[in-house]
Amino acid sequence: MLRCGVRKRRARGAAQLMLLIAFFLLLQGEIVVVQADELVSCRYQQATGRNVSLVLEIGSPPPAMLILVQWLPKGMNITRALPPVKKYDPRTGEAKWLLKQLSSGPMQFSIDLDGELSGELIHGEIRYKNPTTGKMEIMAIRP
Amino acid sequence: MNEEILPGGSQAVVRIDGTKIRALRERKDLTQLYVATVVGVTTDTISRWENRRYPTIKQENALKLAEVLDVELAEILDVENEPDAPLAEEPETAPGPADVAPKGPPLLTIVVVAISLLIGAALLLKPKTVNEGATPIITARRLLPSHVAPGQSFPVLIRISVNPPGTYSMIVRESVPLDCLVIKGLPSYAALDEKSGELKWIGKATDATIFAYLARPKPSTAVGGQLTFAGAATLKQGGESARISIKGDDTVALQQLHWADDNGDHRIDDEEILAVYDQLEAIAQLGVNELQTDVEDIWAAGGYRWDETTGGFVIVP
Repeated sequence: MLRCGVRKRRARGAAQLMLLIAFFLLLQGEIVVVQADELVSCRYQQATGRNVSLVLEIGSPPPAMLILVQWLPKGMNITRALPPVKKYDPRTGEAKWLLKQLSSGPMQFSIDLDGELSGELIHGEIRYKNPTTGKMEIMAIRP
Repeated sequence: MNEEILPGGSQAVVRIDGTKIRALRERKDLTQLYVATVVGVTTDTISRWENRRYPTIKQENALKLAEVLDVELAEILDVENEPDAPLAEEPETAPGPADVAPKGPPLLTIVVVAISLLIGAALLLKPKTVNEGATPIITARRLLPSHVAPGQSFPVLIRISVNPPGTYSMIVRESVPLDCLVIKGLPSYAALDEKSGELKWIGKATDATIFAYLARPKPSTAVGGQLTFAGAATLKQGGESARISIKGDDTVALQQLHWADDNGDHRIDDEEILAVYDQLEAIAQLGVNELQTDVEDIWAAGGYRWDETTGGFVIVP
C-alpha cells in the first residue's frame, strides 16, 4: 500500500516534470507540430461517361509550382478543359496542367471528352517540389 | 561547405584624417549619405569626420570607412597628429533622449530593476540551442546553370546564410566574366565596373539573404568555352568582421543548350521546370517573366533546337 503510494507520487512527479520540459521546449520552438494532412492531395469526383472531374487540395505552405497529369484513353480528344490544359497529346492521352502562384485550398479540374469512357481505368499524377524539403514529390491519383 | 567564423574585434579608437577621407570619397563619386549608410552612422557624423571636428573615431567604424573607400585602414589615419592623451571616443550622433540618465521617482527605478531581474532570470532559465551564444557561421554559395548558350539570359543566385540569425552589414563583390553582360541585379547593385566586370552590392544580411542577377553571354562568345565566376562577401557586426569567398558553382559551359535543360537532351522535362521555378520564384522581383515564358513554351512544346542563323532557340514539337 505504502509502496503503491510512493510509485503513484513518483509517476505524478515524472509526469509533471515531463509537462514542464514540454512547456519549455514548446516555448523555445523545439517542438514541431506535425501536420497530419498531406501537403497536396487529389481525388476524382467523376471518371465516367464523357467527363473527368478532379479536386486538388493544397496545404500550407503551397509549392511554387505543381504539375497535374491526367492520362486518358489513347486517341481520345479533349473538347473542353477547365482550367485549360497546358499540354495534351492525343497519341499518348497525356494531359498536363502547369499550376503556378498557388494558394492553399481546393481547386477544381474538369475535362470533357469526345468519347465515352467505357470502363477504362484512368489515372493521374501530381508532381511538385516540396517547399520544406526541396525534394520532388510524385503522387498517384486513382478513382 | 564554405564556412567562416567571425574573429573577435577591439573597441579601440583611432585618429582619422578628415581631409583624406573627403578626397577619397569625392574621387570615388560617393555621397556622404552612401558612406554613412554603409558605415552605419549619420551624414552629420561623416560631415564632422571630414571637417576634422571629431578626428578620433571607433576603430570598427574606421575599418568600415576604409572598406567603403576601398583603401587600407592606414591610408585614412592621421599619423602626423598622434594623440598625447588617451583618446576620447567621439559621439557618432547627436545625443538623444536615450543618452540622458533617467531621473524618475524611486518607484519607477524599483519597477525597472524588478523587470530587469525578471528578464535576467528568464534568460538564465532559457535552455540554449546549439548555436546560441556561439560564433556565427556564415555560408555563401553561388547557383549557376551547368551550361548556357551565347546571347541567352540566365539567372545567377548567391545565397548567404548566417547562423544564428542576426543583422549584419554586408558588401558582396562578384567578378563577372568580361564575356558576360549584367542585365539587372536583385537587390539593385551599388556599382558595376564594366571594365573589370566587378559587381558590388552593399546591404544588410539576416539569416538567409539572396543576391541575384541576370547575366547574358555576348552573342559573339565562342561555343565550347566556359565562363568563370568568383566573388567574396564581407560581413560586419559591431566590431567584428569576416570576409568569405563565395563557394558553390563557379563555371558555366558555353553550349548550344538552354540553361534550364539540365541534362542537355533538348527538352525541358517536369523535373527541370520544377527545379527552375524554385529558383525563379526566389528572384521573381528581378523581372524573370520572359525567362519563365521561354521555359514554359519549350516544356509545353516538347523540345527545342539551336538555330545557327538567328543565334537563338527554335521550339520544336
